[in-house]
Amino acid sequence: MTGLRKTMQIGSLAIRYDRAAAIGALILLAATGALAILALSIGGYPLGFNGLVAAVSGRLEGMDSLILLDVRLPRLAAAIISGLALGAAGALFQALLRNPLATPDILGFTAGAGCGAVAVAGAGGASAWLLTGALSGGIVAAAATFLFAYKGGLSVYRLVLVGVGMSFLFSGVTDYLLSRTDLLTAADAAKWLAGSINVQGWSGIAIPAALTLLMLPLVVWLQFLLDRMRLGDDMAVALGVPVNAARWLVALTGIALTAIAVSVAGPLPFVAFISGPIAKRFVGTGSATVIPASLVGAFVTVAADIAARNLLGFVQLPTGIFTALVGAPYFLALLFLRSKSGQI
Amino acid sequence: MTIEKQQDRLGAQNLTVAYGANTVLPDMTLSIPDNEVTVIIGPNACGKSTFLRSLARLVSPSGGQVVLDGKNLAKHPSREVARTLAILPQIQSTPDGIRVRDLVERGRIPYQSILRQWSRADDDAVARALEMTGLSDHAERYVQDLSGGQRQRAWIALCLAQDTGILLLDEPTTFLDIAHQIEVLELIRKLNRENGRTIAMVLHDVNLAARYADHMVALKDGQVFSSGRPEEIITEAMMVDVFDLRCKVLPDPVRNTPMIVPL
Repeated sequence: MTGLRKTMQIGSLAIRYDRAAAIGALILLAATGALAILALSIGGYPLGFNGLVAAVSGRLEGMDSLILLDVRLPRLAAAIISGLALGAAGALFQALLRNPLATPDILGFTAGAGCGAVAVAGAGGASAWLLTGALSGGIVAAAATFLFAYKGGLSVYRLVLVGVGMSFLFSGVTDYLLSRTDLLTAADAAKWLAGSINVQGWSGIAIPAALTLLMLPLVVWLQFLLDRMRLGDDMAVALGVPVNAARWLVALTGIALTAIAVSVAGPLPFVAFISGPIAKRFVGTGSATVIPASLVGAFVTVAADIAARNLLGFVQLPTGIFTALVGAPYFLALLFLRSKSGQI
Repeated sequence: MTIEKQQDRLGAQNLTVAYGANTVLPDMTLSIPDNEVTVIIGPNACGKSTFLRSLARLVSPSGGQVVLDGKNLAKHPSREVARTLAILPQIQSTPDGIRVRDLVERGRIPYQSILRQWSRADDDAVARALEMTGLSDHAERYVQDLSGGQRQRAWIALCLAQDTGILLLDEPTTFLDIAHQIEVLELIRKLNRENGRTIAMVLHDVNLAARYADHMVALKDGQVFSSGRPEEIITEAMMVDVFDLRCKVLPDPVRNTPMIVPL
């Protein structure tokens, strides 16, 4: 659905937008907001909607205040940040490689980032260094995947195969690193590696949150550039779009966002993979979907985290279990449909 | 044979293009006459498409240069080039669910920035392009629902929206039936006659090429075999040397342009 483009004029600023897409994005935003309110109010210690109202009007005290401000809010923030980052990263790579299979989780970048983070943690690095480890691991994994998959050109099929191999390789390295630590640390790490949003207060997420917010304008700009590359590379060059620079910037931004998400919540499976296609359903195929996809990522992650916290009473499950429950069937369906139509 | 007119806006000087060890254009010097329709012909893999693509910076030279307005093409900012020359590549990828107007609007990309994504001039240029290609009444239709000829006209409209003095087309009639081929070529001629656009295109069909060209270039093995008026270029000897085809050349009974009839 496209073709209802309108122009919003603010002074010398002129923004072109697709009406259906704008409405779709607003719906996504509202749904994520509603879900966030739900996430704050329910849990092992129910605050309820009344509790939230009390908090907003400044009448919250004691245990209620502690639970809301120091437990639920940071955890919600962590879910939103990792979801936003993974959704955007997935859509960036899907647009860059023009294939729904080409996302950081399928191509092994998240496994690389997870391995990097574990390596840093194992070396006794403070949590602030987790991000650096995740970033290094992500870059190494991406570079290796592209290098091994490149054969006079990039076929997405080969990229996916090499990426799956890379995932195994990095998981193996991660397992080796864990085998050298004590049992308690290893158990913690294993939970984290399944994708766990288990933050303690605000200290762990302040930097990733700030970085994600700082990168949002960049993501908006890249979405604008990617939209200009939809008619193919020849046409993009013909129209004066800086195609090569855009490609590098998209890839690096995608890897950085993946690393940020992994440093917060571990390698949450399938969020990057499913967000883009779901966002397309909402805003139509005629528009770039990086920003809508990041909203979907946040929605899915918050929803998965609500399930992880509440389904088994006081037992906290890894959030990744629930993103995988949604993502894995979709992945199989896509593989099946595309191999049937010979599109893989 | 070739008389170099240095004042032409677009041309190649000692242009060399190679893909790895495979040299497609060994040393090409050729200019595109201003305000005329130039048609490049030649057998498959003679480098005609590569030459056209180099003129539009879709292929980077390994030696020599393409000259645009007296300056090396590679030294012009790419956006500026996109406001000076437009190219319709041979293979287009039409995104799913895109309407004619959306496609044509993309021709305005070289005039836009993220803070200024649309202007009155863009509206005017798109309306003009749709009108010139006879697509005003089809603007809200999906591109995939159009006939082959209409679809090609929509892509040409995108190039027209770029508002350039030079238009390059790589085999614009491929995959079209004969009626739609004529429809597209008539449009291209009209763009030249009414607006004085400089046009260069690659065509497969020698007879159609002769019919619509003011200036013709015959390429063989990446080199200019001959260039000039159609009646100078289309000869029985050229057809044997370049295409390895024995034929007779007769005047086209309608336009009086040279016409080949294979033996």
